[in-house]
Amino acid sequence: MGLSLSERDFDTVRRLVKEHAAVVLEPGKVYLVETRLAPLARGEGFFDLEELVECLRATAFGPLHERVVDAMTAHDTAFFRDIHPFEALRNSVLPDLARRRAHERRIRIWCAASSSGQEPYTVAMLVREQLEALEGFEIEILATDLSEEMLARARRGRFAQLEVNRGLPARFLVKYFAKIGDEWELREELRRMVEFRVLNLAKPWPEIEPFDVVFLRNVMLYFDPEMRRELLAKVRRVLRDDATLFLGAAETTLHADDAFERVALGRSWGYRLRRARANA
Amino acid sequence: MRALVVDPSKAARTHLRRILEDAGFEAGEASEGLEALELVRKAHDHEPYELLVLEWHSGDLSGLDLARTIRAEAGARGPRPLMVSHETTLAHVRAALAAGVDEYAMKPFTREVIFEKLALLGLVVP
Ligand SMILES: C[S@@+](CC[C@H](N)C(=O)[O-])C[C@H]1O[C@@H](n2cnc3c(N)ncnc32)[C@H](O)[C@@H]1O
Repeated sequence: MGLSLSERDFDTVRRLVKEHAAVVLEPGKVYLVETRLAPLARGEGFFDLEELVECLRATAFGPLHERVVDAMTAHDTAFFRDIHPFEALRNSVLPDLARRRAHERRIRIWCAASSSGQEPYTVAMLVREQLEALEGFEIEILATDLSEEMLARARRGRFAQLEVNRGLPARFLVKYFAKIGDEWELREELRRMVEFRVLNLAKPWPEIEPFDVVFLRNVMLYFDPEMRRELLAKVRRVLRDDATLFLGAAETTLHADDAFERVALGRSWGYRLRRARANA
Repeated sequence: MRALVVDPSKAARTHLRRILEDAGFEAGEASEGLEALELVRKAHDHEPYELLVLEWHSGDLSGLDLARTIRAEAGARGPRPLMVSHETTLAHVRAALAAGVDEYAMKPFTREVIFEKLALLGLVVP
């Protein structure tokens, strides 16, 4: 039983993750595969990691492959992550949309890699805070992710103490959460505001109605440049002309897609389609 | 920027002080509420604290009463109280906010937790 993964085994995992999720594992990340998959191998009853990888090779894509992809992708997230995009949503994007969509009375928001739900629920809380300005509006919040496990956690709307400690203003904690045992549960009326669905950003998408706001944060950075370009081109097709796209703090559309332009929204950056300005 | 950490536990104070220093603060320590109140009053006119990190339990003067007192004395010009406490019930968080505490973190905490609270207070840029 080898301690270190063979090159062939690493390659099997690397390819699986790339083909299924488009997530790139750098060649130096052998240790990452070992630390993340060894517990999975044990939990699934394999003798060791080699045996698990052998099984991945020998069988068609199924639940085990999915669990491996899940274990190999980063799911870290936080309420109000980086704050500024959410300040921008509250201070300019939502008030703006309240005016622009005054007749339609409908606003659609998408969190395209929602992980355990902190991001869409942050959006839900901010929408809820503006109930007056958005009176009579239908606000649809769609949250999608590749990971069934993350989606299940997100739907449950229960968070560990450390998770509500991170980024969530105490004012919102007391207003929107109940403590149940050691966990904190988001109030049902907020959970109901978000629809969670599986969607693999790297595969063909189902028919989706266009959105007014898209959060595509901290997922593109795991993709290679070609995949980023493809992804942004697909995102473009589900944006309203004047929609706002928010990316992660380390991400940008620059170099990947010049149909977008970067606009300053308070202390955050948002991205808009260039033709939107011509019409404005 | 100056901060004062008020916590009876030496380990907690040291941990918090290091994090605050990494966030750009010059951080002092007090093990008790009364000692802290004196330090805050003394500092008020020449080198006021911008941030006060409080534990609920801090001797004769609790973190809650300390926050209340300082709010009453200095109002918005005083230091911003941040509670970092072993108390983790909704009632505690609610009472702290009512007493004028600006943010609340529950122990155990990590660096990220403290940095994110400071960002919520507008004291660091995320
Ligand atoms: C680091 S989290 C980011 C969560 C949140 N957007 C944020 O910024 O805090 C990345 C998420 O992207 C998901 N993900 C990775 N590859 C994906 C893909 N091809 N399609 C959809 N989701 C994917 C992962 O499952 C994970 O939950």
